[in-house]
Amino acid sequence: MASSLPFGAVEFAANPEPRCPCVLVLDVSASMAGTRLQELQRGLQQFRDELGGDPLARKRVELAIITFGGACRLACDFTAVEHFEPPRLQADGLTPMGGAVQMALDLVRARKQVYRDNGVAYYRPWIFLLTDGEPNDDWHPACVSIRETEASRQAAFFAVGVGEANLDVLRQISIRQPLQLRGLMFREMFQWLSNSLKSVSHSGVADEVPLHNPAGPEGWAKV
Amino acid sequence: MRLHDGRTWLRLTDEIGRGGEGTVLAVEGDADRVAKVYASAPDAERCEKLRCMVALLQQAPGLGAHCAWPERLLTDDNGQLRGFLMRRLHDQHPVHALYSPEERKRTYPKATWETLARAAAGCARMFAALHSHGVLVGDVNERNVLVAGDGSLQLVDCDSFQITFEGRTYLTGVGVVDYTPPELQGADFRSVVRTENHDLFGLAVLVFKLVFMGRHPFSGGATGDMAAAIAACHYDYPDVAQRLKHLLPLAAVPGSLRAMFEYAFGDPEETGERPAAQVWAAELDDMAMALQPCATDSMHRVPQSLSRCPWCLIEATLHYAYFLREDGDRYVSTWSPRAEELHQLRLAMARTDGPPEPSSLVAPDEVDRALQMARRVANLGPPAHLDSWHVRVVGTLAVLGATAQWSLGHGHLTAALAVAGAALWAMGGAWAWWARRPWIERLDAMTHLHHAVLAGADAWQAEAHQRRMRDRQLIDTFDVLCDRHEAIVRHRLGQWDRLSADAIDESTRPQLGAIGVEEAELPAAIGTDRRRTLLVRGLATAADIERHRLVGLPGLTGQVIDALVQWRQGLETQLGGRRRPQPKPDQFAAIDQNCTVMQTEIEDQLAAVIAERHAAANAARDALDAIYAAYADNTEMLAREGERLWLALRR
Repeated sequence: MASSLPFGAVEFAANPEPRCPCVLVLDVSASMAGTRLQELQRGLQQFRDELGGDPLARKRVELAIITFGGACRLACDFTAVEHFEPPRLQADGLTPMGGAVQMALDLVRARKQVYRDNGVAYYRPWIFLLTDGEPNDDWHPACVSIRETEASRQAAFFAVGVGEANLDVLRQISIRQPLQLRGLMFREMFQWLSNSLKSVSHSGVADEVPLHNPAGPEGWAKV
Repeated sequence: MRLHDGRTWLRLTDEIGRGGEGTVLAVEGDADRVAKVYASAPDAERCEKLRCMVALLQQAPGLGAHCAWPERLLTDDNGQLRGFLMRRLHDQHPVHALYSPEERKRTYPKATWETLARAAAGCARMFAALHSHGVLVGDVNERNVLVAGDGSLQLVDCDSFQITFEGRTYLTGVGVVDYTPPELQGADFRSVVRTENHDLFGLAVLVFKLVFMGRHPFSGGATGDMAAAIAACHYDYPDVAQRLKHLLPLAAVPGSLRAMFEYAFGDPEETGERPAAQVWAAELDDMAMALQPCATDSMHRVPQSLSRCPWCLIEATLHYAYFLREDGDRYVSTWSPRAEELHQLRLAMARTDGPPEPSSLVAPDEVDRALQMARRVANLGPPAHLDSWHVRVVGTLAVLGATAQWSLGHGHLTAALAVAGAALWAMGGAWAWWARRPWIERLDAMTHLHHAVLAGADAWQAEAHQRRMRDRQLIDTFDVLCDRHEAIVRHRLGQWDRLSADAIDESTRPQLGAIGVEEAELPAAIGTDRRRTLLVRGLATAADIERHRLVGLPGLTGQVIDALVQWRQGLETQLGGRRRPQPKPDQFAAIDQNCTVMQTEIEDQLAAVIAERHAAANAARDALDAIYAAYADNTEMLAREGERLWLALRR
């Protein structure tokens, strides 16, 4: 039998730590242009810096970014935090949120296959959706997929609305209570996300980690 | 912070580390000790446990040899226990920095497989020493074991050990799934009484990871769920290593160790007690002793159980070197992207406060009252002056009377009366003007003050806005400099590339430029997606396939890049190109040195921007405070004067 190397063999030889994949699904539709996008960009940079400062999280957490604005785009495929460079975001077009969520689910599924092929354990993937509008495509199939994925505990889905986001739609997509960002507290949001990912990546694979409630009086979100 | 250690008051200064339960602080005047201080006062159980640990150390001083054991307790002014004093460990890294291959190559570049085997043996000896005193590690994990530069190991987080003292057992209370034996998977760690046998599972996992290049013995199989795999005793590394030929085969370790792993990771009901720590130590020492350097690479260590060097085989299949080469002629780069320095600068920038936001102007307390008073007083206007009004009425009546008499024919009298009436009327007017003048002046002054208050707020915001704009420029400058700093990595690669043997032979460039990436037969690793990645980045022909242009593109791992460069080199050979001679080591060293100079220059500039931002923010605060002081004074005056006028006018 001819043995061929699985995709990513070198990467997992160099760093065989269990992986904690996290996909950021970011709205870059035209309404995000200006201060919102600038703050989001700064937040991303800080997110990278915070996670990069943790010696274990930087080897375990892998980030991918999908943007949707006009079209859904894989702005950054899964990359370990130590090699992650936040892409430059540009706002344009409408809000194909359903397609983006579906793309994230597919991406996560494919990545898990890579982990299995390489014999590396993994944590439950996180999908983190951020939007300031409402979908202009058919988002119902994505909704069904999310529910199936959550029910079989194959990924954890979080939704955050910015500004005039349609929280009713988010409530239908997400099993967890969607959160409304207070003002433009992107940095606080990413701080929370990096702290959560750090605690998850310090726990063992499959440990349930209690997360700090972001909707507290000092938090970045309101329900 | 000031705490008492039972002998004297200690001043605790810089924070060295921070964990879930508290912080680790330096002790002023004592370079060999640090204090762990709990974030919230520990409960009675924890206090009792710490007292017992200190007492236990006095009975058995050897306990302190391998770990940061609590030596003395620290209490605050009220006698409440707040933490403890322990030995300070210098220049240590968590054990995962040693067992993760890529990080090990950076952190311990001289480490060989023998180093790793000896570290594993040291780890086992450390467990053996604790077990011989009835102490259990309990929460075994990769962050609690530290490795010093000389390869010696230490345990930290000792207050989580499970200890038994005078017949009472104090529990660990926590655990990490990856190091928890099958019989404890899913158990509530808060009430679990651990045994030596439980600890030995965690030890076996640590040993395994050190010996087998950071791989966990339980990969999690089809679900990636390690907890479930451990609970089911599905020790699958042997299977995974069978499937993936580039992993270190189990046969690389002696049969005795293979059997010990089987026992340690097998079903506890079938295998019974796991191998003891001192047995691990002895076996691993024997294994390390028997290793021989490989003939091809002096950094490779070959076990007697194998006929060929496993590392050479892996390098040939995987194109990845698990160990750095120790080659006298070759320049071994110690260049660093200085990511940590940049990270620290970014943090410092984030911690520097900018000038206040224009929207953050807080109006003085009186401002509402003052503006309200000003409006009310303006509505009232100056008071009427009754006496002068009476005089004018009399004057008017006199003129009217004179007019009536004139119509009746009393001419000479009428003229005099009319003149007197007009004079009275004019005098009344002058008197009114004279009497009301101070009021009008006070009202004018108030209107003036009113405008000054409103203008004060505007001036503050305008100033804040301007300062903020300047601050934005500084942030942008900072970001641009950071980007430049990060771009040096690629710049350096480009320079290396041009120098190195895999640079394009320029004589073949025109022909290479005619071979399009879109239709060429690329290596197998390049699928449609990667081909598209190359094309959209403008890498359209074989002449564009240069290492420095490939690094960092999405989906292109080191292996894929190697394959692409080799493909281009194959074409060059077909076209009659020649390989370039190996460049001299000092040429590479010069590039690295140049890059380091560029980095440090940018870092200096970044530090200057931070200092400038700090100074600008301070200056902004001073300027804004001055504007604010005038604004607050005006407001106070307006409120006071408005109230006085209001009361006077209403009287």
